[in-house]
Amino acid sequence: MFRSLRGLFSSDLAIDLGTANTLVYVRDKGIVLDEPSVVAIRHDPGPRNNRSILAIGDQARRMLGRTPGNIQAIRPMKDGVIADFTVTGEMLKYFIRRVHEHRLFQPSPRIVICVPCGSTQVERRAIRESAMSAGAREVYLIEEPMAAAIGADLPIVDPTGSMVLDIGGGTTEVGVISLGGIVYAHSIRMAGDKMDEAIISYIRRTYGLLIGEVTAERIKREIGTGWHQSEVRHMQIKGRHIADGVPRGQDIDSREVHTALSECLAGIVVAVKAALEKTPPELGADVAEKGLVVTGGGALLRDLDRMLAAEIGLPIVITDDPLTCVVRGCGRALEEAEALGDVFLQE
Amino acid sequence: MSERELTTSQSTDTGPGQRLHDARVQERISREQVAEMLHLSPQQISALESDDFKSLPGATYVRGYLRSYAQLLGLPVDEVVASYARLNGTYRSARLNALVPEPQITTRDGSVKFATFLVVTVLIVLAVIWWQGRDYRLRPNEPVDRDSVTDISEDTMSPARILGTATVAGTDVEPTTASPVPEPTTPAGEDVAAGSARMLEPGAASPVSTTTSVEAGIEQPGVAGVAPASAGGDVGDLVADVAPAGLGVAGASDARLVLETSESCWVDVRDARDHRLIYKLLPPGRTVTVFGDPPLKVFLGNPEGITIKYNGEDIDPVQFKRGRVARFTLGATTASDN
Repeated sequence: MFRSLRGLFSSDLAIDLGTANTLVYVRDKGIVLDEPSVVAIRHDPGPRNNRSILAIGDQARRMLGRTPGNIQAIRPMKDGVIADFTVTGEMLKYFIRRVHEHRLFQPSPRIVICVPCGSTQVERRAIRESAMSAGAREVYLIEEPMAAAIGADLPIVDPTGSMVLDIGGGTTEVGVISLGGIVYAHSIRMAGDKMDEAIISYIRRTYGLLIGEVTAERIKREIGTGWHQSEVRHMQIKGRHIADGVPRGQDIDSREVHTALSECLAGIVVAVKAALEKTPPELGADVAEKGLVVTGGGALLRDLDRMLAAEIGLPIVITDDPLTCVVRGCGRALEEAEALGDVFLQE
Repeated sequence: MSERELTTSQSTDTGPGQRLHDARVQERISREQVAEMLHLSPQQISALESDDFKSLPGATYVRGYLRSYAQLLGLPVDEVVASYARLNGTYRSARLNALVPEPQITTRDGSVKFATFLVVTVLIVLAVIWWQGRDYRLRPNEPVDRDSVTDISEDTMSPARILGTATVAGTDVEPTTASPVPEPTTPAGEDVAAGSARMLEPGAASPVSTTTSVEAGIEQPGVAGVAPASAGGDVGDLVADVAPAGLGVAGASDARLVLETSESCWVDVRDARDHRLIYKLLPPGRTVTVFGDPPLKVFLGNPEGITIKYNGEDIDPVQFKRGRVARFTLGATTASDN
């Protein structure tokens, strides 16, 4: 009863609890928060080994790889699911409080959270419990391909097939949607994080330089490309040389980055092709006519659409603002929860 | 370059189709070649170039096609997409057709604000009513004739059943000359009467020309009806004298118990129905008369300091004394020790 009363003082939320970024959409307002899913934890000295949250979001992200011994900057989400239940709950609580800053009462909102379509029951339950522990009144889960399709404003309720590819931080989701339901969906744990790891690995292997996750992500954003015929760009990076143990600079170009990323990209192409193979022919024809819609942060990789078009042979459509597409879809599902009840996952 | 600028200005008016067409012609690429490169059909390319967007899938797809086409021709992508938006309206963010979302109810909603205001108003009104009522009860009731009844207060226990006065003659008493009481029914009388099943008949007291005085209203619980007094008289005696006249109506079966204190005594008297007739510490020099259905259960502290008359018969409470208290019942068959 008190939760429903407190609900009066809360705004319903849609949360894209991503591996890389967490976005929060507030009903009737829009996206109000977009922060990295990073939490900095301080380990207090003493026999009880207490942990306290030092920073969350942008602040914590700046600490990644730059922390002293007693501080640990961690990403509580891994591969699209919860890796650290307690810290995820704390992070969610922080974000919920952030969007209810000016409220007197402790908020108790209804929350829609997207989950990877390949997540297990245990992983989904962990996300649900985590949101409940953060103060949610009700938690609805929605699969990411569905949220992405709604966010991209695809005609999901029409009797026509729409294919969506969401390349996120931890997972890449591919789904075919028709008549408000998912006809086929598949999730692979090969996305932005794996691309960063591939770049780190390539630089270490080729130049003997150790770089961190933040640098690898910067390389991917600035000169990363998905197509071998893209315009060549250069970039100066710095890392620690493995043999010398001292920092060194190195000039790299976009062809090298493409080489580093090629394995990940090939994995994504294989997933899309597998989805097309398993799609019923009528829907496949619709998809072939309209094309493949690409969302998520991975869609911002330069010339990814050209590579996909060349490899798959379909028109490739990059959505507007692909980073927020999923949370916008969650938000729409939230606003139309009463009418679109079946887009949510039932337990 | 000048041609490019020209096409830009045209496109702002007409949409992206003409601009794409011009750029394609300028690049000497056929429609079929473009279709092959973009994996679209030549009809879709024609529709794009003629701004015939109805034959194409939804806006999301059209924007994607335009983006790819502009990129292929080396045109500024944002401008091409913006010209489409101008022609086709702005990007429709979040609504499915014919699905009306149910608005969320929050504290900002008018209905919630109104309900809150209503509840607060009702609470305030109730508080004011309670406060007013409280004032009314606490305020000494103004008698109709101040000369006849001066100060009457309510007793929470059984106001009508304690008919007494209190006083040490000549101390706190302000005897006033009696004047006939034309209508002895006073607000106090009404109050008191309401508290008792057997109210006193006002008329019963009226023949007695009276004056009463009660020292402090709070000190002395209800004085029902009117207690007669003559100016300067001994009020203590007066009670004893007047009470039978005034209280003859108390009930034929009621027992009458007169308590007179010479020292401070704790008194607790209950009637047959276990109603408290009196329950207080009486100061010295006080005379109190109570009526109740016998048997009366009496509990006294310091019984040496009190004399008791039960229906005119003297009872010595000391005989029931145990320790510092005495506990006994009057009017059963005889007085008995509990």
